[in-house]
Amino acid sequence: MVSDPRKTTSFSRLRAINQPKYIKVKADQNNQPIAILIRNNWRKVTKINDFWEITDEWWGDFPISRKYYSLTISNDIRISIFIDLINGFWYQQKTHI
Amino acid sequence: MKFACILITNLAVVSERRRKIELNNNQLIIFHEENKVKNVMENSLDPNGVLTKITLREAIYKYPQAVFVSADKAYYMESLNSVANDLLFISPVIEKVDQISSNRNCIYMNLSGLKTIYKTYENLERHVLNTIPKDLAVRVGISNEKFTSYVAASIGNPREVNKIITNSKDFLKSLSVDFLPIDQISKDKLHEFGLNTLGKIASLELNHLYAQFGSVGETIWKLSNGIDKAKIKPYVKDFSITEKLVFERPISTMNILISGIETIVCRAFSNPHLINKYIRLATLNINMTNKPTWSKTIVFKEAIKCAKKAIFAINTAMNNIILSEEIEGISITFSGISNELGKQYSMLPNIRSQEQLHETMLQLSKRLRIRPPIYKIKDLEPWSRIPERQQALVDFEP
Repeated sequence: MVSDPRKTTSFSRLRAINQPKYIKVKADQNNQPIAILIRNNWRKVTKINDFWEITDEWWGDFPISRKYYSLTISNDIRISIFIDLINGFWYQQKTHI
Repeated sequence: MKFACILITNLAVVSERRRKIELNNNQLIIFHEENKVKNVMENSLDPNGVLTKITLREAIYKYPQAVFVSADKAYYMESLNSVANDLLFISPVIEKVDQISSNRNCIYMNLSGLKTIYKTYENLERHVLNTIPKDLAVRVGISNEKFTSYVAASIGNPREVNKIITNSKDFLKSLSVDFLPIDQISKDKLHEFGLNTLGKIASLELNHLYAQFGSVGETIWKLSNGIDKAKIKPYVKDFSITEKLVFERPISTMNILISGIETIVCRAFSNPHLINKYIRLATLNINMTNKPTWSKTIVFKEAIKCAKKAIFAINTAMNNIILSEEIEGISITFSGISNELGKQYSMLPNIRSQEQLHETMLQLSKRLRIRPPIYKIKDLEPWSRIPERQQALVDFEP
C-alpha cells in the first residue's frame, strides 16, 4: 500500500519569463526604428544589425505577426525589439536567453 | 457526505482550567491585546464563542466577579494540536484552522471512505465525539461542502452532530452573512446594502456582486449558493521531541535558567529518536508566574546533531533577554528532524551537489518559514519561434 505523504497535491506553478515589454519607439516613414525611450531618455538607434519576421497561429483566434529588430543604440548597447504588426505597438524582448 | 467540521469554541478557557484547577469554579475571561487594545477573547459564561467583541475594560465593568487571564496562545495551540493529532487516528486527511484570537478553532475532516470502516455514519460521529476530550465544547457539522459544514457546526449544539442532508443552498438561505470567511469591512458593507442573509446574496446575479466587491464578491456568491470546491489542506503531524523542567520553586537568576536549559537539551539529545538524527529548530518556552508563556524559536544555521552546539546557539539567542517575572518551568521542543547528513567530495559531483542543494533548501524553508522563492528555468517549447513560449520559471525542487 502506498503511504499517504500528507502533502498538498499540487503542480509547480509556471511563471512566464521573457514577456514582451511595451516601449516607446520613434520610427521613420518606412516604420524602421530610429530612437527608443529608455528610462525617460530617447536613445538613438546607431545600427540595425538584423531584422526578421514571425507569423504564426494565423489559423486561430489570436494570430501572431511580429517584426523583430536587433539594434545597437547609443553607448553600444544591443537590444532587440519588435513591432506587433497586428496592433502596431512596439515591444522590447530578449530573443536569446 | 464528504466533510465534517469540528468547531471548538472554548479552547482557551478549558486549557487554562486544565493548567490551574483552582479556576474551575470561577467565571473565567481570557483577554488578549490586539492593536494595543485589550479585547476579550473567550468568556466561560458564553461557551458558544464571543461573536461581538468587547474590550477588557467593558468586561471588567460587566463581570466584576470574574477572573481575568491573559491569553497564552502558544499553550492553546498545543492543546489544539493534541486534538488534531488524536483525530488523525480516525481520518488521515484533516485540516486544522487555528483562529485562537477569534475563538473559532476548526478541524475539518475528510469523511470519504470512512463509512466502510465504521459501517454507519452514526458510529463514526460517536467515535469522533469520543475522541475529543469531554471538557471541550465541540460542535460537529457534516455536509458535502466545507463552508456548509462550518456553518452547520456553528449553529449546532455542543457535543452534537448537525448533519446537512438537504441542498446546501436551501440550508444557508436564512443564515447570517457573518458566517462568511471574509474581512469585517466587507461584512459591514453587505449589511449596509441590506444583504443580511446568505439567501439574499444567492438571489443576486454574480456580475453585480463582482462589480461591487471584486473577487470577494465571486467567493461570497458561490458560497451562498452552496458552491464550494475547497479541499482539505492536510495537517501534518510534526515529529518533535519535547523536554520539560519544572523548578521546585520559582527562579529569578539567569545562571539557574541556563543550567536548566542545558539539562533539558542534554536529556532531549539522549532520546533514542534523535540517535543519528539532525535537528533544524528549537522552540524554547518559559512559563512565568502570572504571565503568559514566553516563547522563542531558534533556527540553527545548519542542522545540528550534538547537544553542545544546540546549547551554544540557544544561549546566544538568550543573551540580552530580560524576563520580567520569576520562572516556574521551561520546556524545549526540537523539530525539523532530519536524517544524517554530511558534506563529502564525490566521484559524481552532480549527484552530490543536488543532495546538498536539497539540504540547503530544506534549511532555508525552516528559516524563512515559507517555501524559498527559488526557481529554475525550464524549457517549455524550445522549438517555438515566439521567445516567451520557449522557457518558463518553475518552483525549484531539487
